[in-house]
Amino acid sequence: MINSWPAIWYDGRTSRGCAVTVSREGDALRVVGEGVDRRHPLAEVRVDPGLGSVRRMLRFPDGATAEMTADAFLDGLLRRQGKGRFFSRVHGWETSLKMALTALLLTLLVAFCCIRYGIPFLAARAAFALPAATSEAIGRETLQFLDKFAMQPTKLPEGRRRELSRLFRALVAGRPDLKGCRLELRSSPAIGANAFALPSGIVILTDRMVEISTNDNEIAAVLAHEVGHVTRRHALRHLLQNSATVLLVATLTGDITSVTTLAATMPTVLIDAKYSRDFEREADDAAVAYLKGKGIPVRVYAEILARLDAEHGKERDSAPRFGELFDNHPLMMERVLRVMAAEP
Amino acid sequence: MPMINLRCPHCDFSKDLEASVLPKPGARVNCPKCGGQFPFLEEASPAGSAGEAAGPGRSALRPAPRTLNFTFSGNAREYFGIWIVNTLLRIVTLGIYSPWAKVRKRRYFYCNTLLDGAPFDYLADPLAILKGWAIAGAFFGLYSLASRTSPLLSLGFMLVFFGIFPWVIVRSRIFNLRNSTHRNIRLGFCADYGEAYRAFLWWQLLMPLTFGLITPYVIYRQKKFLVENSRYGTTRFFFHAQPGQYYRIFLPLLVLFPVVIGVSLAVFFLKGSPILLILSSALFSVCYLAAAVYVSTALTNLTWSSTSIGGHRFTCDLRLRDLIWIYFSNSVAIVFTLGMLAPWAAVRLAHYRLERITVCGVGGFDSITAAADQEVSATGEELGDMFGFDLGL
Repeated sequence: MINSWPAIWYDGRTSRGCAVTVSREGDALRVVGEGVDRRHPLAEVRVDPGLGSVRRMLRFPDGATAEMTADAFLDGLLRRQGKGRFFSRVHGWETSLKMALTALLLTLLVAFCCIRYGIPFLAARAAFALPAATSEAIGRETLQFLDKFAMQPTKLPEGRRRELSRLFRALVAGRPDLKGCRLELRSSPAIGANAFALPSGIVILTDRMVEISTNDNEIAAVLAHEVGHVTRRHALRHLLQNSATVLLVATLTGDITSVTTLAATMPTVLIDAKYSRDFEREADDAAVAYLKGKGIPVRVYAEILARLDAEHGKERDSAPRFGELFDNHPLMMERVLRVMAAEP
Repeated sequence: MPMINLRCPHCDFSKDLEASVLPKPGARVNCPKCGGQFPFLEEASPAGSAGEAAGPGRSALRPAPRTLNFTFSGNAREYFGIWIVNTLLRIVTLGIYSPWAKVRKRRYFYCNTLLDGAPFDYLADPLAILKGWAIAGAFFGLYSLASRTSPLLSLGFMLVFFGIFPWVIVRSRIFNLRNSTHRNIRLGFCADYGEAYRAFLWWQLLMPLTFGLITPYVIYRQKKFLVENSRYGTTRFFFHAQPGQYYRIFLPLLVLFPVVIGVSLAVFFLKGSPILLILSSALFSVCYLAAAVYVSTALTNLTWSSTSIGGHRFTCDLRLRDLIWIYFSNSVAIVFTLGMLAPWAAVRLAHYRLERITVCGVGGFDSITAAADQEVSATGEELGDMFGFDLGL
């Protein structure tokens, strides 16, 4: 017979290999060698699909294998069996440089579209679909945590507190979508001058933020910005988007193992920064719209943003730290300019 | 009285003994040096005749030991194709393809790893991995959600994970070794959960209480556990390192750390400029990385070189400066090509690591017999994978 191919035979019971030849006789495979002479129906033999240029195995039902390099012969067997079509095609993709580069481009394209459009879209849908109880639980837990570790009760005088509450109520009055929204005043040297919104609609304003403002219009603008976050469910969307990005990046960079490695966290940090920038812009737009509606000059918002930035800059100077690399310092100036540009 | 030369197949320690004190052929003997056990065979040669000079008779049967090499035959071009197609299919199937991708990648590396010219193979069933992946994924998802919402809940998850950690290690090891074959004989791992909990939980918990002083000993126990419960077919691996050797690895660090800490403290108290601060932090991280590479290299070398199977002794001589250069240039290449050279880096590292391992012994691996085995699930393996620990020797 001419069509016989060399192989190394391992019986699966001991590790000794012996040289044999494999040939196809009709619908059966014949293996002949020293002490080996057997026939097997081709349908019962599993044939390894190609993978790189590794040696492939014929796997017999009793656990024996024949290790071969005759790729064309094995591919012919697979075709005859009608099996392994998918992986033969995958192998074709992997071995052709052109196809591999196409795969590369497609991968980058799909990943970009997912991050830019897919994830934010799905996260927004999910955030609005989730029951209010979910975000309330998250908000409550976060507030408890912050109260325990980073914030103290406000030290503002009683009258000032009432004024601020009135300001906030006026802001949310007549908005049915802001029913559960409330203002919490806190003193926090650790956080400094800041205002932020929790998923459940709790807006937190720190004493220092009130101190650096020069009039209540500025405070109103800041609160309008936070209420903008609340109406658009930014906190919850941010949480969902970040969880999804971690999964996507993990899928991209190989095993999910990489979630814990630096190489995989760097891109997630960058994508996270991009998402929060988008959210800040949206909330700024909300603040600007509010000010315009009230006939207050938009400039006051730009001023308080600039002052907030200067305040944070002061902290930076007193304690230089590595975190600066990831700080949103240049971002703040960009935001101020953007708000200024909105002024008619 | 004739003297008989007895040689330990694990550590090559040899001793001349009077024939009258020797046990019956076939009895098990303990090596006085490494503590390894080996059967006393009749082929032990009379003293003074080291095999080749032996006269006629049974002592001439001892053939010269042979050194077998590991080689890696994969290349970056091929692996790039596999890697990128894996990645694409993973994304478009929303991760469902991951187990198939994982098996394909592993198979590429295993099948290209040759010992004495014969390749290894990886036979894991992707469907089993998919099941384990789903369970581990649910656990990981809950954990990551918990860590973002409730610190208490995530602490609870961490505790649960610590509790099952030794179990995860054993299951993962069983799954991986059972699905690895060489010359169509599966490797395997004996599930000794008691020792797993002792080595990976009990001793680990004692580490902080002893200010880390028992760390080398704990590592020794863990490596011993991992090696001694592994087998190739029915042949067990032997481990003959001593705890002292693990302590010796950590000795140089004792010199290094006071120096680094001293420098950092000096900078801190001298109220240096931010630049000085950055410089010293950089120095610190460089020292830390170098020390980490040194420790892992030394541990790998020692563990492999203390391992033997069926009278064959492994030797591993990774060089620190080679590895530092490879890790450094690999990271630079990966960062500057936005990950595109990751396959090249992986192949390069595999090449280097495998080609520094050799096995020396008599007879080769021709007469290993297979063990009867049953199927195992991949949950442990996937859980281990998700939390990012590597169980390589």
